[in-house]
Amino acid sequence: MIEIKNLTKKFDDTVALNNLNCKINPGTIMGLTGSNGSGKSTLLRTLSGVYAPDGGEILIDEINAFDDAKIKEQCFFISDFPFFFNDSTLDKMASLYRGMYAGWDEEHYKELCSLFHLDSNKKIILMSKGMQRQASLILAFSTRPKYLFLDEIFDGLDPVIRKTLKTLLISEVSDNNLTCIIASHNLREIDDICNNIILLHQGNVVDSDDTDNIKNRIHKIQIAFNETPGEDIFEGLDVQILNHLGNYFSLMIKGDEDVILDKLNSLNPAFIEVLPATLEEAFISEMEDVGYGK
Amino acid sequence: MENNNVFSEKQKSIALCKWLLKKYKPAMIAYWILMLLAFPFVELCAILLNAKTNSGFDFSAYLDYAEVDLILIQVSVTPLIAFIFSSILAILCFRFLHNKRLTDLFGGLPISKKSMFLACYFSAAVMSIVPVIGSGIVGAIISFKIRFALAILLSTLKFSLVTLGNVSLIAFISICCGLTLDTIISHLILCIVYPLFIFITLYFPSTIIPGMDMHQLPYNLYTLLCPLGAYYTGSEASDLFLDHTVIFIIWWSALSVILTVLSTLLYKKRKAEVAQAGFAFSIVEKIIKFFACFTGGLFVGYLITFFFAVIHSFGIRGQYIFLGIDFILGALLVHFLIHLIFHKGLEGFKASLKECAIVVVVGFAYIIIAGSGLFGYVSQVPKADDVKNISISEKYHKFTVNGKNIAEMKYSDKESIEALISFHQEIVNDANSYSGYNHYGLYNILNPANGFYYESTFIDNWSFPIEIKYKLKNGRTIKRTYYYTYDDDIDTEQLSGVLAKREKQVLYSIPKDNLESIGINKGRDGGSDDIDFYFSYNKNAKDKLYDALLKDYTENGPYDYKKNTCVYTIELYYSNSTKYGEDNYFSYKIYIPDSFTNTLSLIGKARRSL
Repeated sequence: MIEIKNLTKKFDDTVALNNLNCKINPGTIMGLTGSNGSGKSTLLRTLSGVYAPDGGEILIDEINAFDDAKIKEQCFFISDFPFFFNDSTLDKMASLYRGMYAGWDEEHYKELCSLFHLDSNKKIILMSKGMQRQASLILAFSTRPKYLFLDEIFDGLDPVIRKTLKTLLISEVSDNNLTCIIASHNLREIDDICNNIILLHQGNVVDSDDTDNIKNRIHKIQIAFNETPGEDIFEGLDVQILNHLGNYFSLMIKGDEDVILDKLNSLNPAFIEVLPATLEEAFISEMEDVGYGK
Repeated sequence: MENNNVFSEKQKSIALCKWLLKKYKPAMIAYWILMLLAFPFVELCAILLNAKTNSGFDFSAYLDYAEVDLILIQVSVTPLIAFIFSSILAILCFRFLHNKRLTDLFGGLPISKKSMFLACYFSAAVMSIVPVIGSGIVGAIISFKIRFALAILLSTLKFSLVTLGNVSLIAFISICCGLTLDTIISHLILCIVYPLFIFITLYFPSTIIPGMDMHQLPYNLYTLLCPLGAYYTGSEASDLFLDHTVIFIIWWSALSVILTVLSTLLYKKRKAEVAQAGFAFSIVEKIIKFFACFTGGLFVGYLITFFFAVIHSFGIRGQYIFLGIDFILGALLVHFLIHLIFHKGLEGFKASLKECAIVVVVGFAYIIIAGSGLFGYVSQVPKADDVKNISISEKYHKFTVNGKNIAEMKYSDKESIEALISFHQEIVNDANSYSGYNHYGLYNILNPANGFYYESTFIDNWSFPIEIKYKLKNGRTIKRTYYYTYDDDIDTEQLSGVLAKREKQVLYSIPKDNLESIGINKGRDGGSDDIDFYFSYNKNAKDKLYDALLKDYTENGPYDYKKNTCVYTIELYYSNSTKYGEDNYFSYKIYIPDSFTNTLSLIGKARRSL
């Protein structure tokens, strides 16, 4: 389990993480999303031990993770722009990790190389961005980590490889109880794969909950009336977005679904339909609540 | 599946070292090739070429004097190669500190910061030192003689320690800097500025303070923080560089240890986010700024003071005021330039001016202390009761016979010690009382007491510069070097006993075989006599004259200007060769009184025969 307690990280006068508190249970695929500069990458770097916290602590399996080599051997971090030396091949990088991670699985490494169709003797910097990401993933999974931290991993991956990645992640979670934290702006992928989400803004947690719960806090409703309703027809409802064309309205409303429907039905609409809100819509709503983007 | 297996820190460190060694193998191969070419290969060629004769090879003749040649070959190019490659390899090994993405890669590895640093340091050290040792061992083996091999191996040991010191210095600088470029610039500036700092700090007082000689200090002082220079000042190439081997070895070993420990401690505190930013720790910048600003301030101050003195002469007080103002200007200018280089702009320049202020305060204190005579350095003359022995010699002049330097006279008897102390005191009194040399307690900068090298004979066989060395009973040594007298009326009579002892030592210590030629002047230091060519080119006549001279001297004692008339002045020219095959010369004048009958008779006979 990962426990983040009162975590603070500063860069000169800028507070990148402000007194964060969070718990991540084992076997979770956690999505980490937020506004630009909200501290996602900083959080991942602090979790993986690259950055030292300026306040608070991170406990992984109840041990303070910073500069603890034994705990770090359970973790693997892929940054948003993974670095490879000019002469690095997959095999050369594998030889580095083989010496660092006792859990290195050589067979699994070979399987992954053929699964992703990558030449292990080719120079990685000569590969495309997506293939470089794949190379990082091969190395990461070959170390058999217990905790995997991925920063913008979907960037550059084609749909087939994304599917492969998701399959791999899910099988690792189910077979090996892998805990994965994925930072990404690609909310569709996060929605697809993550069972929990943390929303960050300016170093603070805006929301942290199950993916479905976050989506279910906002509802997309299409409603039409026979006669033109008054201006204050939706008074009492927490309407986030309102679009209309004549007597037809498209709404984004926050609140309990049953309460909302009761209220709307009481207006005698000619037509009413509740559509599932996407995570992106929920994200925008949450961000606008904290004053970002309005 | 939970993975409970972990590698130990040692295993991971070794794995990282192996990986780095494998990664930089191409650079290592190039390094090895160049080192083997520069020394053992060139050495072998030199030996074969010099030992080649018409009928084959004769190694023994060449190898009798080849030691200096072999050391010079070792010390010529290999230090430069070692410096360049060790710098490159160290910078490569610590590059992960200066690139954000590389920091992510290395920072995420499951190894503690301490082990990470030590593994990188060890890799850089091994890659840098092994070719130095390897080329040294090969060079020692093919030198054919144990003596040469030992000399080469000692040089190799020193080179290895300096190389390790270079790696340690770069490691320390890398940790303090956020950019590889800043690391390279800092390293190069330190290697250039530090020797200049030492030079100018010693040059100023040594030119204005009578008795002070900066050449007394070992050249290794100039290279304590300059690995490139240290290769050369620590070499075994003869005694020219005043090598202090033990201190050299201790210094470079200790420096490596201290820097490594400091680096390890600093790295643990270093934040990863400083990569590609400014300085992680400002200590390197501050040290460089101090050395550079002090040097620049003193250099500019000195230069402008001299320049304006050409246009308008001013008194001593004016000299120091000018020097002070120009020191500030020079220090500020250098501070500005260094700040621009390191910060790529003027951000933080105002706040950094307090560092420049510290340099100015230190500089002013230094100028006043040096200018006022270094707390009584000038006037310090020991008491006779405190002196164990005293030696006086013509500086830079060495003439060794049977292990003893005849050019240096050493006395431990009370009479001689008192006489020489009086002589020394007279020089000091003249220096202090000479008008224009001491004003407001400050010594003249523009017309300095130690001025330029001035060689002249002032007491018969003694020429300036002279070095006076006291060995005190408490174990201390006091040395003074004077480049010229300030008053020609030195009382030489008090030295008559000392001079007589010297004369005896010359005549009775130097074997006749070392006598190369004889010069004869009429009277006391009069014009040359044509007769001297006869004794110079006729070995038999020369030997006879020398024997007659020794006989007369033994029977009659030395010339006494109060009692005797000087008929001739004979100048004896001696020569011998050092163990390195260099020729050394020594000359001595003897006044021939009318009582030296045997000598005068031979000269008379020679004149009549011509």
